[in-house]
Amino acid sequence: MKPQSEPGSLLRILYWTLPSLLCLLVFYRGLLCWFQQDDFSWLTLEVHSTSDFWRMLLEPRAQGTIRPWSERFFFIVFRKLFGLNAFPYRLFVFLTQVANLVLLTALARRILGDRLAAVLMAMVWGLNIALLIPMAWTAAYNQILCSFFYLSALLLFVRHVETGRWRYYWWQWAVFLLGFGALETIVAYPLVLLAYCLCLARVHTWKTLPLMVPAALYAGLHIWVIQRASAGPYAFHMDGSLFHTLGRYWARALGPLPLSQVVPIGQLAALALAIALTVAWIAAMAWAGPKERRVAVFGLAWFLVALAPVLPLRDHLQDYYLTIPAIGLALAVAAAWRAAPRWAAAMWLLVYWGCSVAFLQQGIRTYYERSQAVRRFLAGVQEIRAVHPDKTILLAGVEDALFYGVIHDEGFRVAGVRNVYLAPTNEGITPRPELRPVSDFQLPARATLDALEQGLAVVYEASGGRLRNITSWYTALASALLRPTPPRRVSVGEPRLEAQLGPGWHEIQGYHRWMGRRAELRLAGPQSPTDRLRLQAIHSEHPNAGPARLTVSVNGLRLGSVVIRDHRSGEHVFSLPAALVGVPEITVTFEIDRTFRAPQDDRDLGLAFGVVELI
Amino acid sequence: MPKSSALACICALLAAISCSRKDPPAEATVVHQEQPYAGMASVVRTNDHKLTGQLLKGFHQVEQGSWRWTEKQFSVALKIPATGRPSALRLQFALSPAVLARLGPVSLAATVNGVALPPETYPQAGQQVYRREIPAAALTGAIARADFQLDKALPPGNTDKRELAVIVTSVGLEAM
Repeated sequence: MKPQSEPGSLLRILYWTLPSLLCLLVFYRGLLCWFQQDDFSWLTLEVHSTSDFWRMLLEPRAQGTIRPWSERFFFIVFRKLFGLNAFPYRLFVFLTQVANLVLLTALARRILGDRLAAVLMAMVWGLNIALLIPMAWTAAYNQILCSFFYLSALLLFVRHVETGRWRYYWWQWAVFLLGFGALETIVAYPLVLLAYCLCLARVHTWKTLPLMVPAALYAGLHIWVIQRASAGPYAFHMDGSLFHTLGRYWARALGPLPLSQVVPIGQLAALALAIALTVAWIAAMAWAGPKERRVAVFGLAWFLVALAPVLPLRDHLQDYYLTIPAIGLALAVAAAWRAAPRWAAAMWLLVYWGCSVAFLQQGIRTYYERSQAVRRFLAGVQEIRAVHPDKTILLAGVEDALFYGVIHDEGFRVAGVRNVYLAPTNEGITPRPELRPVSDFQLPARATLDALEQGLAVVYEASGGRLRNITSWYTALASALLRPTPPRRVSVGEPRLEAQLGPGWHEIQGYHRWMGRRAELRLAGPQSPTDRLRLQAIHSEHPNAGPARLTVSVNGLRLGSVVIRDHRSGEHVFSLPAALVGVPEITVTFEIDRTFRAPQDDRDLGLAFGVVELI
Repeated sequence: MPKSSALACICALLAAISCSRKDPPAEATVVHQEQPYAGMASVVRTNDHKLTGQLLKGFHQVEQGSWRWTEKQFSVALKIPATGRPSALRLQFALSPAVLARLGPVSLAATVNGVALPPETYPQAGQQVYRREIPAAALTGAIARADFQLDKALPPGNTDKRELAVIVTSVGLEAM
C-alpha cells in the first residue's frame, strides 16, 4: 500500500519529529540520569591487550548473554572517550531511540498506508511503559539497540517487497546478523518476518526460511553451550505458567496495571481497565476490514513472537522485556485506529496515554533522583578518600538503594576509590538470593576491630542523603558488639585482610595477589559438615605461564589437586574433612607445580588469587 | 544538501555538544567533623538522627518526624545502664489496624545478647508496649544487642515495596 501524497516541508518535518519530540518531553530526565547498578559492572571493563578486547567482547557474561554492541563495545568505547560523564552515553541512547521512532513511522506508513495511523503508532510505542527503564538506565540500551535492528531489518525487507530489488533483501540479512550483537531476542526476527509475509506479503514467504538457519543455530548454541539456571529468577519454566506470564505482560503493556503502582486506583480497578481496553480493541477489530485485520494479526504475532524468548522466565517479569513486543502492540492498535469510529479510537488512545505517561513521568523522576543520589554518594566517598588518603573507609547505615545502586556492582572501583567496605554491623540491607551476599562487601569483624584500634580506619554513616563521620562513636559500638572472630572469606587483594595471609604471597597487584610456589592463608573453621572451600585463582595469559597444577591442603590434610589452564578453570570448590568442623581457625595451603618469571620481574610467580572462602 | 551529508553534520554537531558539555560536579554532603561524642544511649527514640547508628537492622526511614516502620525482624544496640539494678527491655510501638486486619494478632519475641525473653501476642491495634525483665547474665559489658522477631508481617507489595510489621517510636533498657 503506497503512502498518501506528501504535505509541505514544514509539516513534513513536524510529522517526522513529532514522536521524538514527545519522547523527549516525557523522558527528558532520562537524558540527565547518571550511572547506577549494572552500569558500573560494564564501566569496570578494562582492555589491556587485543586478546582481552576480543574476550571481553564475546565471552558470555551475566546469565550467559553475549551482547558486544549494546553493552561491552558501547561501554568500553564511551568510557574511553567520555569517562564518567554520563551525558554522552544518555545522548547516544536517545539518538538511537529517535532513529527507532523515525524507522517505525516509515515502516508503519508502508504497512498501514495511512500517514496519521503511522505517526500514532510511533507515539503508541514511544510512550509505552516498557520504555521507562531503557530510557533511564544505560545498561538497558540493549533493548533500544535491538529495536533498531528489528525495525531496520523489517523496513529493508518491506522495501525489497515493494521494489523487488534484492540489495534490500541482502542488507536486511546483514542488519539481522548484526542484531545478534545487541540482544538475544533478535533470534525471533525471522518469525516476525514470517508473520509479516503470511499476513501481508504471502508470495515472499519462502524468503524468510533462510533466515531461520542462523536463528536456529544461535538458539541451539545458547541452549546447549550456556548453562541455564535451574532455580532462581532466571530458571526456565516450560509449563502452563507461560500463558499466565503472557497475560500479565499483556495487561502491563496496556498501561493501567503499572499505573496502579503510582496512583492509588487499586489493582482490581486497573485490571478491569486493562480488560476494557482489550475488549474495546477486539470490538474495533470486529468492525475492521480484511486489510486492517491482517495488520492487527501481524501486530499480535509480533508481540507474541518477540516476547516468547522471555516467557519461560516466570519469576523474572520485567517491563523492559516488552520493549520490542510493544512495537507489535502499537501496530495492532494502529490497525484498530483505522477501523474504529474516530471518537472511540481517540478515547482509547487517551486512556492508554493517560496511564502510560503518568507512570512514565513518575518512574523517570524516580530513576533520575536515584541516579543523582548514587552520584552524590560516590562523590562523597571520593571526598572522604581525599581527606583520609591512607585509611580504610567503613560505611555504616547503608540501605538497599545505595548498596544495590553502587556498591554491589563495584561502583567504588569505577570511581577509583579502594579500601572501602561496609561496616560489619551494617545489617539493614535486604539480601537478594540471586546476587552476591552483602557479607562479601563487609570488612570482617576481626579486621574492623584491628583497624579501629590502630586508628587505621574512619567510619562514616550514610543516611539522610549525607555522609557523617562517626568514627569515635562506632569504635565504642564495635568494641562492645563485635568479636574478633576469623573471617569466612578472604579476598587476598584487599590490603586490610593482609593479617589473614601467611608466608608465600607477593605484593597486591590490582585487585589480586600472586603467590610463589607455596602460600598460606587463614580462615574461620567450618561450622557444619556442609561447609566447603571455594577459591578463585586467576590464570595468567603470559606466554611463560602455561597450565599449573594446584594442590590445596587444610591444616595439613590434602583436599585435592586441580589443573588451571585458562581463565575458565580458575574457580574450584573443595569439600572439607568432617574433623575440621568446629575448629576455630584453619590454615589453607596452596602449592603449585611450576612457577615462571615475567620479563623485568625477578619474582617467581605461581598463581594469582582473588577470593578464598567458605561457602 | 544530500541526506548523508546532513546526517553527518547532525552527528558531528551532537558529538561536539557531547564533548563540550562538562559534567557538573556532584554536590556531596559530607560531615568530616565528628559531633562531640555523647556516647550511646540506653533508650533510643527512632526519630533521633544522632542515634540512627544504634538501629542495626530492620528499620525503615523516619516518617512524619516521629516514628519508623520495621520489618519482621529488627535489631538495636543499647547502652547498658550503670545503675547496678535489674533492667528491663521496653519497646514502645503501634500496631496498625491495616496490618491487624490482614494478618490477625501478631506475636513479638525478643532476645538480648542472645538470651531469649518471653514472647507476647497483641490482638488489638493501637499503641502497645513490650516490656520484659532481662536476666542479669544477659547484660555483661557496656552495650547490649536486642533482636526483635515478629511472627508475621505484610510482605512487599506493588504500592509499598517494603516489608512492614510494626511502627516503633522508642526502644530501650530501663531500670526496674
